[in-house]
Amino acid sequence: MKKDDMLLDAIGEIDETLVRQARQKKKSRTAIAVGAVSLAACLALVFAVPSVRNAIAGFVSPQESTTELLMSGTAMWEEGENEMALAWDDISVYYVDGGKLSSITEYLPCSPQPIFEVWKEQNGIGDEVKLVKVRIESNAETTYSEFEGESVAEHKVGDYFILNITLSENIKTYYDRLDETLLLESLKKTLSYNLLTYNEYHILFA
Amino acid sequence: MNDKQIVALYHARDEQAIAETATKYGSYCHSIAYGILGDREDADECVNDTYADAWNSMPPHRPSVLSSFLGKITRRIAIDRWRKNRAQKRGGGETSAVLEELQDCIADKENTETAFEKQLLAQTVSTFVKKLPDTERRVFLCRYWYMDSVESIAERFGFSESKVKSMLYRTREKLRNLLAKEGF
Repeated sequence: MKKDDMLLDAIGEIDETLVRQARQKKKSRTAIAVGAVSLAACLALVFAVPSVRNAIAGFVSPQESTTELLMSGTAMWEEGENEMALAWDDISVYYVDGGKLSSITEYLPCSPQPIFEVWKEQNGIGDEVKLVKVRIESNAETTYSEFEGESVAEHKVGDYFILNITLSENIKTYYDRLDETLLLESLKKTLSYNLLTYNEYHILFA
Repeated sequence: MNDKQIVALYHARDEQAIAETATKYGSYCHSIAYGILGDREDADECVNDTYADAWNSMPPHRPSVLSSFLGKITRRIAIDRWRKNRAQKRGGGETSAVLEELQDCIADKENTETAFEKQLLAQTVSTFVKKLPDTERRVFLCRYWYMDSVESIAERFGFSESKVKSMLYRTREKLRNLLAKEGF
């Protein structure tokens, strides 16, 4: 068999998910109005609206971080949660590439779990490592909204955001192969997909 | 009927599985086969062979996404048919053009290969494709997995044909460099 024939066969073995996605139509970037049942979903919906997203793009973080904040807005995702992804987008997934960070762009649902799976794959991390929880804290004013009878955090420029990521402890077994600082930095950058500029990041282990 | 239900029919050895598969995925498989072979009759035969292969594969397989499972079978069968046709100097489709494009990506140092080398090549190509930027990857797969014409790819993505050709050329160059570096 000629080598180009072998290459044709090799292409046939490419991951079926990628093959399936190749012909899928990309969804629009505008917010999709679906029933949100958690504050995390509401936050994502708010930031999908272009005008709000533009406002946040102009956000300038304070010079100094502080832990002395009244955290009134919280959004949380937990492992096993059966959430509905509101939108798909081109997500930058960062990985350790020698002594630096590189990234690829994947068309993914805007939801921590699928993004985390791609992050693991890019960093050569196995299935045993789990994303346990993602929690966003902010000092946003929380108001009651008629929208599904839920509380919605309304954000404005100048708000302070903290991203808390909880991983399974066994991630540490990869530190001998991957630089710990770079690896965790790649995770923080990857999970900042929702266009928020975070003032603080906390990585916790369970 | 959803994929889970259709797969259950296969496992129950209920021939209704084939009818349901044909209804749901017949056109999809046909489009893959036709893209490779360029001949409706040949494509029809490949699709029928796909159903037979699926019947023999389930059980034990229990694919969660039937379209991907069937698509892969159809592609393999159609490429084998294309090779047979090529030996007999018949057939059309995009496959000749695709093979010509891929020729530059890999050195034809010898005409023998081992199963191990094939597996290594598959892994290398898979990793390469995974790391491509999204649009480049999708265009690459539409051309070299699905064998879509450059014209149809341009229409699907809203690009000019020359943009598609440039994108494919650049991706092939990257692949060629990688394969050379890996000793292929």
